[in-house]
Amino acid sequence: MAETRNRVSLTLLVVALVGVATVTMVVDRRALRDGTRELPAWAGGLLDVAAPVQRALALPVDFVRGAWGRTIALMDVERENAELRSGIARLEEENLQLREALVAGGQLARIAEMRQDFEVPMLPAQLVGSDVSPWFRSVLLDRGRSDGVRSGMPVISEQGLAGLVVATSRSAAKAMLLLDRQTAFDATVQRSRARGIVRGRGDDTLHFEFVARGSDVRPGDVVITSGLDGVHAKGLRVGTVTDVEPPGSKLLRTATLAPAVDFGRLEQVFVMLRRGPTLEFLYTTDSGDDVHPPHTAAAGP
Amino acid sequence: MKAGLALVLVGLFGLMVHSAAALVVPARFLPDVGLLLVVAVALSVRSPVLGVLFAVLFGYTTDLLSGTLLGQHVLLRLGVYGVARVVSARINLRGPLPLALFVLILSVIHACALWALAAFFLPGGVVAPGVLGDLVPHAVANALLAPVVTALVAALVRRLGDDDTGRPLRLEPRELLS
Repeated sequence: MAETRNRVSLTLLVVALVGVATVTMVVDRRALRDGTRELPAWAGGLLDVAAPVQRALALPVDFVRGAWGRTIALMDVERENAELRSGIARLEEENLQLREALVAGGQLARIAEMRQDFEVPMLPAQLVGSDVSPWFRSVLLDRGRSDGVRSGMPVISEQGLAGLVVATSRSAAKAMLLLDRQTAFDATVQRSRARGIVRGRGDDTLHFEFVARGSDVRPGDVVITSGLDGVHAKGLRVGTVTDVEPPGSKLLRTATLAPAVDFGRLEQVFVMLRRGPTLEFLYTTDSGDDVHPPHTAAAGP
Repeated sequence: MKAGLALVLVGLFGLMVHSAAALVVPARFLPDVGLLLVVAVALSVRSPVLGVLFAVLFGYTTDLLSGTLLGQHVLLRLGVYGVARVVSARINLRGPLPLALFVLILSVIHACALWALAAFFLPGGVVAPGVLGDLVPHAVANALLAPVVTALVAALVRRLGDDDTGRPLRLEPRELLS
């Protein structure tokens, strides 16, 4: 009798837990789609504990990696210096020519004003953990809501766009990398202005889907964010085209991109403390918690 | 109680170490610590209620440290726990070889179930061919580490356990006679 009762209780417990897990998934999916995913206090607490522990665990690894990187960097420093000097000279020349052109057009003062409006505060953040599932690509950052980080904020590195914040707790945040299969956003080829959608594939490459007719996409082209998805700022470097599907009868063609960011060596990133207009619009409908970053640093890709 | 608390702490710490290690080691070569812990708990902890609760806790923590939806790993870990209990009741999984083989098969099923759930709930559910190739080293890593994790969890439960988990069953002749 007691055994039967235990069995029934266990079955009921399992059924209840399966039900709760399913409801949680549905609710979380909706929050993810709407960009309003803030972790509840008890779940966020677990993440808040995990972030400092993982930062401590990552310290020795970072030290070894940093020492190795510095040794390798020293070996290349002379060659790099020569390359940089010639690069600076070329850029200075280019800059001068552009300034001349702007002054001639009387637009310099207007552009300077616009820049003030568009400058986005950046928050440096450290990667303290990576996805524990090999089939998903996300990272754990050591900055959270208390630093002004919110879901929907783009994450960049000095090389380009790295991902998007998808969940936050008080002192940690989870960011989905570009490589994740859930990633999809509007992008443009810098050279030809051909527009398309960049999608993550779950491996180390990206796909760029564009309309076959009238689009000029070639290997070597740089793809940047278009800013038209309402989430990412315009002009962030996404990657370089490595391969283009041969033209056929299909309406859409696909190009393979090598991401601009080296995700294998990603250690420090910057969170852009401003969401795109679509997400800002969504957020004004709820509590209206504005972003007031306490520690910001001016940096960019 | 002591064993339960120790298992929770060891499990959570193990998942954090896993997440930190994933920063430097490609994820396909890393074993799924959460899955191994749930299998070990299924084989070492006698109480099914405790086992189910451990599976939920480890599943939820995995969801927090992963790009999955919250609840996705909870469902899968419950499934893993159930399968491990049922199979261990019919087949002897005590030896390292049968356990490794069981975990190898379970890892493949687990990945397929995860993809199926992701395809149903998330956009872009198609799995890239390269990702399928990652399944083999991941399943092998799981199989290799499974006997070690199970032995560690069993030792922990034996050492700290205040129930009869892991102890040989003793019959009291006087009670039987009366």
